Amino acid sequence: MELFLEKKKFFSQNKKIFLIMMLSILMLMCFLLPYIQIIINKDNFCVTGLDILAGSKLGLADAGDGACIYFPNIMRISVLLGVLSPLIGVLFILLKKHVLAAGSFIVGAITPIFSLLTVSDLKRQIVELNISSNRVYIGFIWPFFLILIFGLTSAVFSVWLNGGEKLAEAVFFCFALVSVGLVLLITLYMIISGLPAIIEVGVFNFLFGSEWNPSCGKYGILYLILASLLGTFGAVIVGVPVGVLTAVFLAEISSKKVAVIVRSIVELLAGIPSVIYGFFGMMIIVPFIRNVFYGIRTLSQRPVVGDSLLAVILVLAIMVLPTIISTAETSIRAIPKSYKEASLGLGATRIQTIFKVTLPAAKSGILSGIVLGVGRAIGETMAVIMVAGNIVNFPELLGSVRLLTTGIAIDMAYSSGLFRQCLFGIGLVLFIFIMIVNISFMKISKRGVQIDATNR
Amino acid sequence: MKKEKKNKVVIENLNLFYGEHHALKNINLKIPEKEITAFIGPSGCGKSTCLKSINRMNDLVDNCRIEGKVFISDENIYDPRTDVTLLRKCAGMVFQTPNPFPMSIFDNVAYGPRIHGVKDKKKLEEIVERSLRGAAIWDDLKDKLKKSAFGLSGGQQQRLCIARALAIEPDIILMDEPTSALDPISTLKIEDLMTELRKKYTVIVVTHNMQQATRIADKTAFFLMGEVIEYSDTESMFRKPADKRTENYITGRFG
Repeated sequence: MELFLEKKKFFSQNKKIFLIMMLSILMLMCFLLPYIQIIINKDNFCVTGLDILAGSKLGLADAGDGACIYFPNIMRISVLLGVLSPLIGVLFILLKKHVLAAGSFIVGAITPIFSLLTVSDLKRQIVELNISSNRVYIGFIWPFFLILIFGLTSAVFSVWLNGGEKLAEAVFFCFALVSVGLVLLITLYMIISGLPAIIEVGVFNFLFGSEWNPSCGKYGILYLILASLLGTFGAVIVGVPVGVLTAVFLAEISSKKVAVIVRSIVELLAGIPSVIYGFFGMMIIVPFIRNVFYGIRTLSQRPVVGDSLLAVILVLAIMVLPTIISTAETSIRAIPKSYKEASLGLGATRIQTIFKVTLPAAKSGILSGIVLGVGRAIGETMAVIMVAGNIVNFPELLGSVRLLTTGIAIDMAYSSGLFRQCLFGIGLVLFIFIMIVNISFMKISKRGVQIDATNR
Repeated sequence: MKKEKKNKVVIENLNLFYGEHHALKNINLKIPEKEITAFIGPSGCGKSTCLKSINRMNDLVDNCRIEGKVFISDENIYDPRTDVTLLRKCAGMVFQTPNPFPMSIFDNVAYGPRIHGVKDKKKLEEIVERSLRGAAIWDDLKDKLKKSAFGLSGGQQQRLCIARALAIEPDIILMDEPTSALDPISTLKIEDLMTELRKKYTVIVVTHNMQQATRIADKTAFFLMGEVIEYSDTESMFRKPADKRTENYITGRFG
């Protein structure tokens, strides 16, 4: 009698490997099928992976003889990635690196999505051909979905190969890999689309050039960077004391009833769309600044109109409050009661206990809250655009400024050529800032965990 | 006969309620100066609560209501004019589990003096050394005063906490089961320390461990269901308990 021995499984290891091979071959074949459809006015192109790789051009009937548009490099890279990754995946399978193989299959599966990101580039080419483009469409046709399905299935099977794990676990793992893959693709996209402009302008000229004048070919974003940094810094300077003291109030001082009310209001603050903050800034903060500093001139001898770095700082300070308050409150609450008891038992007052024991003990948590707030402030666009004045100036407190985010948002609609590419360059700079902020957040919170672990 | 000592702490008709729960019922105790008094009894009998009412740590508990009087050096500490911080400076407390602050060893001991206004660095160093010597831990720690207190063993941490309490120069030291989280050897060291402290301070200790009470305490109070059943010299209580319930408890029939 075999009571507890595993039943013979339908999918033996060899069968799985065979299946993966078949799926990858199918996936490769899908790249030979037309999977992207491009419609420009009356022309309708069904493009295969091979077309894109080979670099064929799309001749446009409207624009006369010889007029054609080319596939952008990003598209080519993505197809190349799509073709290579099943092969790499199979190689990993043969090397018994199943997880890496799964990752590779997933990259292959999502590369076609990546091609969609190139619409803007095609449009730019059409604009340069001077033909009216009342209908430009890029979409997928059915082989695209086959690529996606084949890729995901072979990824699932590769993870399944990894010892006696259950199929369900493999599926979950692959979905996790999909999100990781998307993040990697977005990163790659930002680099590919942002880097060429930065290189063309020159890294130094781009980052440290103080003149932003696209019509004269001047693309220096120093003032934008400075305005973003100062705006964020100012928001933190204003927001942190308010936020931390509120958190202390909620965690230590207020009665439970009051704390519940205040906390839900703070949470509400976090849910308000940023454009509403923009309204608030426009209607209240900007006129307030204009009236208070009426008649004063900025360092660059402009009158104070109210739209200013100060307004940006105040609006952002309000917007980072919920993040700071909730993180700080959580970390203050996590401080062991015994610290407080010990301090009070030594004759310290409540306030002395808060400032000398509780807050220092909670500092890593509070710091990570601040870093999260910085992340929110530096990426904020809508509210800022409404109060910043959006003139590229050396940032001064009462003068109008343009930030990295608003710089992109304002010009995106009409820019073209190098100008447009430079906006992507700004995006890349912003992306790097956010990455730095996030990585430091991870470092800080990890350190916090370590400190907590030694406490125990 | 022992010479009668002055009473340092006098508890008169103390009643304490947690919400509806009557936690301490009509407590009357006279605790003599410069002796060790032990509070014993089963869990939940109110001995820790009674200890905490001596330096008003019960004020921190929500819904806690106190009636009656507690005198320290003939002054009623539940008088509305009492400065609680001065009171707690006079009655230092050591807790069940060692609870050093997340700071250096030096800063831990110097915390009390600092919040009471000592700023001079020389003087702080002096206080720290004296307190650590008082807690019999100076020789172990004198070379690592700048290190984090979390690197110490449990027993060392507890002695550091005692040193921290000594640093505010109290008259009374309240200890709430100070050895219950420690191993036997550390416990022994803390007990030796307590008998040492007895020379200069009035020590009140809550303990679960009856052997500990017999080893160190001059007087013992037996608590049961929020009442003091018996309060007398340790020796006589353990040799010849006056109350049947005390006898049952100390002979291990319940608790």
